Amino acid sequence: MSVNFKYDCYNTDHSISGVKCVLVVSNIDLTTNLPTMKPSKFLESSIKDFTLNINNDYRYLKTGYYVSLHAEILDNAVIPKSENILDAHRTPILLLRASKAGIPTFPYLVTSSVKQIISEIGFPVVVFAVNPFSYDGFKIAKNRSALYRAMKSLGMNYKFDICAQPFKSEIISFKSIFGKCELEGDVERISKKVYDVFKIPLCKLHVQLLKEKAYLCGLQPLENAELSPRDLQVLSEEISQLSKNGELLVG
Amino acid sequence: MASVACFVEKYNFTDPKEARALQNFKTTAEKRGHTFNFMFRDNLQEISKHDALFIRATTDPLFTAYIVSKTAWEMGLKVVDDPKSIQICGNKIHLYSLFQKHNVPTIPTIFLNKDELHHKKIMSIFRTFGRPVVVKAPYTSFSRYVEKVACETSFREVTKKFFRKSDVLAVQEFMPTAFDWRVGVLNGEVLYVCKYMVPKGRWKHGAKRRGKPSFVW
Ligand SMILES: Nc1ncnc2c1ncn2[C@@H]1O[C@H](COP(=O)(O)OP(=O)(O)O)[C@@H](O)[C@H]1O
Repeated sequence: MSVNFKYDCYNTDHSISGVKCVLVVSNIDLTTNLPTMKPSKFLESSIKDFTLNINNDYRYLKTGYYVSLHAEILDNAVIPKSENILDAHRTPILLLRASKAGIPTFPYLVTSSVKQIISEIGFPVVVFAVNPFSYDGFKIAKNRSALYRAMKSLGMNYKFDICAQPFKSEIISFKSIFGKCELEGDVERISKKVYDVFKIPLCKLHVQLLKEKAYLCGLQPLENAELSPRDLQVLSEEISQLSKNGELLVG
Repeated sequence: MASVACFVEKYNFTDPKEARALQNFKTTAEKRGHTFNFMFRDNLQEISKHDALFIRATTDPLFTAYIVSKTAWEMGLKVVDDPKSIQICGNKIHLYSLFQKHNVPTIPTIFLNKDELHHKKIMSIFRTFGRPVVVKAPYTSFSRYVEKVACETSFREVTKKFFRKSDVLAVQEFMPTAFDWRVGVLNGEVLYVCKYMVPKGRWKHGAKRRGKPSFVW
């Protein structure tokens, strides 16, 4: 896909390796030779550059969300898009859009009814929060009372629905950095595909592995402390690499 | 003829007037030969069976309404409110940013982010807007998270509460009014306008209104 620059670059210093005007907005200390800015400063600015928004937490209403929104208001091309942020963090939409893109998922149920889960999925079942505030996403329930407890806590006292999926094997949770992860095989493939669909540079993915086939179950933000020096290195390398290849611009 | 699902929550039926209005939608749709069924949050798997979805529960990206809207959208149904509108209108920061961008006149507004909450900033806001100022959480509806503050202590109190959910808030000059307008728009066309009277002695509508109705159609 070819790339057209729709907007003028005001600052020629932003040209590197053939890709002009990439601004990295990040709350994480990165070692990159690209121009970098803190989110709070970017939110006050009107810089019209391609915006690469790197944040450990992109949840709706958090700074990571507002940075992408602000970039869009400025008509900047941005990764990730605010719409994708919204969708990727709401499990039912994540699963729906992922499965439309050919990523394996299990059937899911959005409900606040314990009865319905028992009759339609049964036990064991894995329950993901649907409320957008939740940080650590899921609970596994093997019986009715565990299910009630899970629904109560993840549904914030039944105020929100939850998203239930069959629990068929162990859940594998891993960090995904621009779709790259430390695992191999089908898990690695899923990680890349999820990035292709939603373009969330940093997140944690939850999958179930069944007969070596990976099924996407959920996505959640990372805590800053979860990022190891090695992750930061990978992140910085990816940013430089992507900007060199111009892949950044294929939003 | 179309099969229309109407997404509602239990609270949509607590006010008899609203319950009647919902029933009016149903009879009107049926008179025109459509089927019209209420869909609650535990029946979401039925979305795909319908041609169109009409959402009457509070539309906010925080709530199930967004999930319902986006799911229907992805499945190719006609949706009101569509997910993009929910994303924009459910967030005052998004809305006011677009107003500013497209030069729609608005009450003077600034966006305050969590990292900027310090004495100097607060003082400069009071200097710019005068006192009191109005602080809004982006997700407010029915005036619920709209507060008036006139001193640093209450400014800090209110913003601290609102910052728990959102990292950015809107702060505005205080411009009292006796009424405001609700404008219903469908497909880019104005369907109706409804004048909302602010109850006497108050400066905003409450979530629950007692006494005489404060609407004029
Ligand atoms: N800047 C302001 N100055 C004075 N009154 C305001 C201001 N902003 C809002 N109000 C009053 O508060 C009420 C709610 O504000 P609004 O922005 O419409 O929030 P909501 O979406 O929660 O209803 C309105 O009735 C309006 O009259």
